[in-house]
Amino acid sequence: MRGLMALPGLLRLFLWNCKLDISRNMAYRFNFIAGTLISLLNSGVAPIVQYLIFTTTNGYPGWTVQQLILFQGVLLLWGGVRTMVFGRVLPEMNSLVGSGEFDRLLVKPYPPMGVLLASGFQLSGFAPTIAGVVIIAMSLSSLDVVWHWWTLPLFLVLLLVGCCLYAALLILMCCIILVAIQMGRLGELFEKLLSFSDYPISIYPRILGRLFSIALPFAIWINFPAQTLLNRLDVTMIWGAIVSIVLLFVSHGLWKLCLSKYTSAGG
Amino acid sequence: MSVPIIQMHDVNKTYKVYHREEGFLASLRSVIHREYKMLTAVDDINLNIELGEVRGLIGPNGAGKSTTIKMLSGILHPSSGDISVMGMIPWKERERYVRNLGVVFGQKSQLWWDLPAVDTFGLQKEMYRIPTAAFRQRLDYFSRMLNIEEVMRKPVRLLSLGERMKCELVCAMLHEPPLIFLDEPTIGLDVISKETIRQFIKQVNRDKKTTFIITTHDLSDLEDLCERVTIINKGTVVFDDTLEKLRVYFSHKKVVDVKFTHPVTEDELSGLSLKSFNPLMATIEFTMDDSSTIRQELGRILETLPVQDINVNNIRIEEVIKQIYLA
Repeated sequence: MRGLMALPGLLRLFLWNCKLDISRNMAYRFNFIAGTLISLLNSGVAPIVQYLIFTTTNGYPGWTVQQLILFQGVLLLWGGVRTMVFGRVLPEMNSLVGSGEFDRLLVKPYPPMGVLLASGFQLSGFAPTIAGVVIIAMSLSSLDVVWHWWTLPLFLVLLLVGCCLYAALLILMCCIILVAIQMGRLGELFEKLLSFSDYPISIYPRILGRLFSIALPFAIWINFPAQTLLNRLDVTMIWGAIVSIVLLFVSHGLWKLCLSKYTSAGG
Repeated sequence: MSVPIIQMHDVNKTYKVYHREEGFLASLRSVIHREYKMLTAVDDINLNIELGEVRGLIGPNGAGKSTTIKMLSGILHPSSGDISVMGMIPWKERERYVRNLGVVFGQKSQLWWDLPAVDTFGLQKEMYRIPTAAFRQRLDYFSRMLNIEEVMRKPVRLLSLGERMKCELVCAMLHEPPLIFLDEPTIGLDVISKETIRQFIKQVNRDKKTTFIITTHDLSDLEDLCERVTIINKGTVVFDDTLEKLRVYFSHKKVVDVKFTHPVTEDELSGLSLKSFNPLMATIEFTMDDSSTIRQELGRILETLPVQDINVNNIRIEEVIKQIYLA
């Protein structure tokens, strides 16, 4: 409850951190311009690879080429949003705990996890976000989809719930870092697990599809929003959303438990 | 009338720490089985600090100073005992409490490295919800006092250590907390920067009645800033009084500088506790007890040695502190 009351303040802090991160990027102009161009190029590669895979194989069950390009657009958009909102959280947590500076978060007048999440902005997510929006717009214009008044709001709500699920997983990773100090290769495992969400759920066996839709609802990030834009609503979306929110509360509880055991670093 | 701002009563803090024997095999064994020991970092500390004080908190490395400061900052909670700061229990009311607290960790920066310090000040404004007019006025006050009007507009990476520390201080004070913890604020600074920072602390303490708790290994910080000093050693408070009292803590010990009219040999001074010696000058430490007085000790020197000049001093404060640390 206290965390929710701190939300407006944390959102303001997030905006300030955005401004500072953008200013920091502008301080190194070459790095900024080169980074943006490379991000844009990178963003273009994945849809092309997916297109090639799709057209040279039997494709993905239940998806046409145009629909898959839309899916790729949502994938880019989600990747961009994820980087822009949470990009710096894990590196920052690793650095703070590793260097014994985590205490700094505890002398801020907000919940430490809130301060950490509010400092997550990373400008490098901007290019994929824009690329994602452009690809979605282009593919929607060539798809014959019935557009309802609730399509866009629902799409945005799913992105927001996706942020909750991602925040839940990040908080769990932060718990591990706080307790174990070093995350080791768990970070890689985390990234690999997340990559299951990069493909339509229909390509997985039924049990895995259920797992990624409900129990560990990675589908909330790309699959469900893409289905929403294609007007293919599914009741599992509701379960996925509920589980995402529940996971956020569970991970927050776990974080508080880990924090209560925090012993700080020496001297 | 004195008003307490910090009250610590019978505070203890114990940690479970991982203990490993030396060597590679022990390192391999530790993957399977680990041994832990309970470590008492703070042992029954009682401490009272008054509002508006500048208190020095010193002690050897590993004495328990940092743990004490962390408990006072709300970062850690004690294993037992009571702590009340500004009427709050720091770790229980942490968020409300730290709104009234400023902290400078001498070796840990909160400034954004690639940006001018003024940008971090803006973030602090947002963090502590400082009204714009108050923010402008305070920034003006602090920057003029520390002479950093130009400095705070340069990227932090281009600043000297002293300039950075000045900016760190401003960062910790913009929300005008009544209590500030300074952890080694003058570490690594040149004489001029140290002097500026000390003057700044004194003036803020005078103007705003801010209470400062300063941990330092630089005794000139204590002599310049603090009226009272608390020494922590092995987790307990071993001295808690004025600096003057610290100076005469070993009043039964005197250091006597003796200058000779002509060279003497070291053998002629045998039986005396020599601190330094050359044929024309010696520094001797006397420890008085019931059977001897300084008059008797000096009389013996004056009778047996060719004394040209003699100076009697209390032992130096560094020496007092060293002896307290070693006790």
